Parts: sequence; structure tokens; C-alpha cells
Amino acid sequence: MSGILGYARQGGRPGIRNVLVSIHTVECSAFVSQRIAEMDPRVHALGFPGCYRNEYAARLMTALATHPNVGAVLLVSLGCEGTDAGHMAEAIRTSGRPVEVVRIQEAGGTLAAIEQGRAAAARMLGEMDRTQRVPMSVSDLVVGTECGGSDATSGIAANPAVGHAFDLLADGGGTVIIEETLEMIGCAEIVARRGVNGDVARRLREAVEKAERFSLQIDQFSFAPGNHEGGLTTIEEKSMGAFAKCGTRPVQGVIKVAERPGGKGLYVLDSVPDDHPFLFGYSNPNDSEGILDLISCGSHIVAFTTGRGSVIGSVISPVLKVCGNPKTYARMSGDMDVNAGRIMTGEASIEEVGREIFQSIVEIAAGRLSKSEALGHREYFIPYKVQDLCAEV
Amino acid sequence: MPQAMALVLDAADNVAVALDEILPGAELRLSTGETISAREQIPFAHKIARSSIAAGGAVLKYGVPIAFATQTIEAGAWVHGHNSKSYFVAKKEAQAG
Repeated sequence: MSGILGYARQGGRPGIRNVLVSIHTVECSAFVSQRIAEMDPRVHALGFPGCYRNEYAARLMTALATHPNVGAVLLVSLGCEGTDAGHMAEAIRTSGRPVEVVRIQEAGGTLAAIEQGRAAAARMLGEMDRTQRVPMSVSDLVVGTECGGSDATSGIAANPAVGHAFDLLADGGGTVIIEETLEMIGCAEIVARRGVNGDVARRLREAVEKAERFSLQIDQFSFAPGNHEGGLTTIEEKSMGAFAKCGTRPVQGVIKVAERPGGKGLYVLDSVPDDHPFLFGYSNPNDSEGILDLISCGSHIVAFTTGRGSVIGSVISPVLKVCGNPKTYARMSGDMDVNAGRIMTGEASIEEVGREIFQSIVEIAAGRLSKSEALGHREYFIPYKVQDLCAEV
Repeated sequence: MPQAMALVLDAADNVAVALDEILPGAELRLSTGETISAREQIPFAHKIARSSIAAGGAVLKYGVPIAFATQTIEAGAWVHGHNSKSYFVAKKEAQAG
């Protein structure tokens, strides 16, 4: 028995948390949204800073608002920005979630909007308290993985250990997602061979080749002198060290940001902007964006590997930190959930740490707070981007 | 469990990763249980050949080719940019003429 008691969602996968998201639809309404969120720790604030409408950002925010871990939604709009809060509210309402919109210009300014938003949120939190609880198993879980603050230990300790946990999750009927096609550069053929069939192999090859074009065009092709000193000989070796996070099972499909995996097993998330007639678009600017992209695809939990150390968490879904560098772990243990540095010191095998990560994922799904979650980390990042869904191409 | 000093990431690999600074002549225990003698100094987190690799042969790590040998690499030798090269970079260079 997994012991996971989830939150039932109408016509969708159950959640492991029950949060209310307060979403600002432009930077001008971010302050009001954040002040509303201060009323209750179950309210998570996030949003998009841009004023000009961006299809990608609107789709991403709608996917986050209808994430399994989200029980209700408050949209905080200024009133004249490009993102249409009313249209978004309709899409969220069809998911069965309570949703309300506060428009600052209509409400009558800062204080009136905060008061209106808090009253609406209080009503919805009351509704959320009555959410039906349902037993969940590993096969109901979606888990993503991402790395950041990497060092020489990442590719040999933390990443392979998460990979082993991903094999255990996939074998248990769960769904797992790896992001970062930018970190599969030089390995298009190797990655393509992991496709479950010819169509998936073609999609994987295309996604990695797009990442190669992107990185060359924006001069983000990264094989730093530090990588070489750290023992990495080639870009292929660096890429395979990052790819080790996803384990060894066949890839069932390629998805884009805000798309949910169509089945169980391993999926690759292509978060790189699509080729655009005028410009390629924007880079993946930081780790928080990658984590939020994985959550937009339905990840209940994200396993984050680090070597030098990272402290970030996320809105909506718990982030589990796996640290492969024993010295970093000793220095920053208050932020780290799993010590994969024991692989480096010979105290544990990759498989042993992998099983510990799997167990931690089950415990966090059952309600235990991850370190970053308990510390109150609530990072998010939504940039402008242009991307077509895989379902459309 | 005895202290493993070099980690083999996949059973098919012909290299192992040093978990410590390795001195020339050191008898090294691999995570697979086998032992190997280091022919030269191997820095922390760098690769040591588990078996000999012919010139042009693939360097296997994570069970896949991550480079090709530019010269014969003996078992126990340090494997890095001086004796191996990226397929991806070689292909880009060939395309650039």
C-alpha cells in the first residue's frame, strides 16, 4: 500500500496537494495578487508579467490552473492587458474548479481589489475543504525531473540515482517526464533509439535537432572549460550525464509545455521555443522555468538534482532535492532531501539511492513536506515564448 | 561494502569514473568488483579505461558511445581529450569543410 490519500478532481487525475492559485495576468496586478496570497499558506501566487498577449503563456497559465494539485483559482487582472482573464476563467470552470476574477480597475484600486480577492479566496478555500479524498497509488503519479547547479558529481551520482527511481516509477505504472532537450545535444541518434516506436524516434530526433539549431543560433552551445576540467571529454558525455536522470525505459512520447502525457511510462518534454519566421524566441532562462514547465504537464512532484547546490522550490507541486556532492550536502543539508553524495564516497550504490528517492517520492505524495516546501519556497517563471503543441503537428 | 574507487555506470562501459584522485600504479577497485591497475594519474571524476580501446573505437559510458578513440588506449589509461574526440564535433567540422 502506498498510503497516498489524494484529492479527487472532476474528470481528471487526483492531486497530492490542494492549493488555491492566485494568478496575475500582467505584472501590473502582481502586487495585489501577492497581497491576497498572504492571507493563507494554501494560496500560491504566480503569473505572467507581459502586457502583450502570448498564446503560449495563456495556455501555460490555464494548464497550471487546472493542475491536479490545484483546487480553486483566483485570476487577478488589471483590466487592460492582452491576456483575457474572462476567457481563461471559462476554460478553468469547465474543469469543475471554482474560479473567480478580480479586475483592479473595476474593483476601484489596490485596497478594494485586495479585499474583493481575499473574500473570493476565502469562499473558495471553504469549498476546497470539502474536496473528496481518494486513495492513490504510484500508477496515478506523474513525476518530473530537472537539474541545476550541476557539477562533476551530477552525471555520476544524483542523475543516475534519479534515473533508477524513474525506472521503479515507470515499472510501477507511473508516468515520468524529463525536460531539457537542450541538454541532449550531440545525442540525437542515441536519444532517438530510446523511442518506443519509429514515430516517437522521429519526434525525439527532431526535438533534439531543434535544440541543436537553437543553441547554435543563440550561442548557448554550452561545453565550458570547467566541464573539461571536471572530467567531461565531449558534449555527448555531458548530455548523457543529464539524460541519465530519466532512467533506462523506452520513451513513450514527446510533449510540449502544458501538454499532459497521453499514457504511462517515460515522456520527453520539449520546452525549447519553436522556429519562428522572425526570431527563434527566448532561451530557457532559469531552473524555475523548467520546473514550472514540468508541472504544467501535470507533474505532481519534481525531482531536482544538484551538485553545487540550489535552494529553489515551486508553486503548486513539491520539489524534491537530490544532491550528488557530499560536501555540498553537508553544507546545505537544510535544503536537500536526498544525499546522493553517498555514491561518491562509496557508502551506497546508485540503486540504493534510487530506491531511497522512490520512497521519498511516495512519502511526499502521501503528505510529507519536501525541504523546499517546508521552507516556504514558491518560485515560478513564465516568459514570452512561441510553441506549437505536439498534438497540433 | 568495500570502498569503490571508480564507478562503472553501465555494464557495457569500457571506462569507469574515478571517485578520488588516482595515483600512477594504484590498484583500483571498480564498483563492479573487478580491480584494475592505473597506468597514470587520473584526476577526480575523470575516466579510466576498463579495457583497451582500439584507435577509432567507441568510448562507452552510460552504455552508449560518448567519444571515439583518436589513438590506441590501453586498459588503465586516463581517457580524455588527448586520446578521444566527440563524434558530434567531428561531424560539424567535416560539414564546415
